[in-house]
Amino acid sequence: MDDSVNAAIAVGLLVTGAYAGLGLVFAAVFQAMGLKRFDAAAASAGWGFRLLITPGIVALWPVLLVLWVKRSGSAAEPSQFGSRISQRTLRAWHRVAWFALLVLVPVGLGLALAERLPVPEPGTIPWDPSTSR
Amino acid sequence: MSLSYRAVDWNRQKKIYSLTATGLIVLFMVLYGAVTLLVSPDFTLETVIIRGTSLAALLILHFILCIGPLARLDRRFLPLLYNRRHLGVMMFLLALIHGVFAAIQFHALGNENPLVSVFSSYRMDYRLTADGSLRIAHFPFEPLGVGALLIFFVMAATSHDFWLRNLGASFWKTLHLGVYVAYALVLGHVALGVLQTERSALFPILVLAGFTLVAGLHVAAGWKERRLDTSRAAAERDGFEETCLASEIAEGRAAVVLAGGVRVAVWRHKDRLHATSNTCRHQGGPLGEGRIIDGCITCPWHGWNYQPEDGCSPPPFKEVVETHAVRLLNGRVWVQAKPNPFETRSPGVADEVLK
Repeated sequence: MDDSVNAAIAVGLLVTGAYAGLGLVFAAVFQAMGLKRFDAAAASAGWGFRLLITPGIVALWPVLLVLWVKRSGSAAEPSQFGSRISQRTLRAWHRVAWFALLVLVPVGLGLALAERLPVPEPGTIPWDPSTSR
Repeated sequence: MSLSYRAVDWNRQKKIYSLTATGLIVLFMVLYGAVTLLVSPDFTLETVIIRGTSLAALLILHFILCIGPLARLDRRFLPLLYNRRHLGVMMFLLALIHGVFAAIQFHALGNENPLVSVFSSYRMDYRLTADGSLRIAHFPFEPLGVGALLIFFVMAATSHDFWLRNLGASFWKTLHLGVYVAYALVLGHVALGVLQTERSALFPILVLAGFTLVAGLHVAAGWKERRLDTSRAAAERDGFEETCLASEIAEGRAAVVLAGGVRVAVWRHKDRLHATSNTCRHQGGPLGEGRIIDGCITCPWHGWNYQPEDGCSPPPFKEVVETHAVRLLNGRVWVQAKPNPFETRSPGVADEVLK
């Protein structure tokens, strides 16, 4: 079970690495071929700006790809990704998030403190290997 | 007029903001390092960096989370909001330094891949109870930190105006609401991490105090916004439209706005707001370009007069212009698109910001 958990973690890290790698490739292609048409304001932007937006391109490359495809063949116009959400809806989500935190955080903090285990003395390991999972 | 992106649109205010924040962070790290090494001289420099950067990032995160509600509760805090993104990026960089040093310090010297070890180290045996049962203290705290760091990375990476413009305000704002998920993860990381070994009561008290401050400000701001939303919803149901800021209207003058596709003049007379048609009954002159003289709206073309309270010309004249109902919500003027019946008398709306 230990090996399978480690293997699952390794696979997860590989998938994340692959996503980031594809993102880097997409960032290079997008900046070379698509950025000026994608957003006219980026046409004369310098290398400092291009460097600054690269992490975001790597993180959100699927979203940018969809937007790039949507805007291809027409003049570069900023368009929304997804549907518009009103300010009231966003504020409602804020309220939901905060009511959830108001419950979860004190309960979680209380449990974490109540369930604290004794700190082992330096150099001692008070455990029985047969109980390892 | 053309718009071209720059890496950072530096101006005087941004420079002061960023220099002040950077200076305070450096000062904090130096003081923290000095105090820590005095109190615990056996601590290594890596430990000081790990703890110092985590504490600095946590404090900045709490400050960032307070800025939004503070700006809603009192507009004097708005300058803090304008460059909040700079603080966010600095906080992310501090958290990144903390994460990298912690990963190297605690996971790099074993025989497990350090990145795998970060996620699997909860199975360290000393955390098991004698009967082998699992407790909440066994829940892995390091992955919680990694999760928070990833969210902060996405937020920092999309803080430039390029992203707001191209992703759209709705999607961008939704993405940045992830700060609350990250905050919960950070508190979990702290509660299941350092609070498990640091037994001083001061630490949980400080964590709880920070959360109470941030939560309290959000609840207060949310309460105020909810009242405003309720008033706005009621105004929209009653056929009112949001127009201009009350502060834009000088005493004795008008702002010309559109309500229901028709031009309406919103007047300020003795600190009360009235709305009338913008069209003079005489020859269609633009009433809103005139002024109030001796208590009467005076058309700029031929001097025809109308009382702002009911749109009627003063006796013995009988001309009437339409008036509209007015509401004031949080400093903004709302005008009812449908005009009042002719000669309806209204005292107007007193110009005070509804809290």
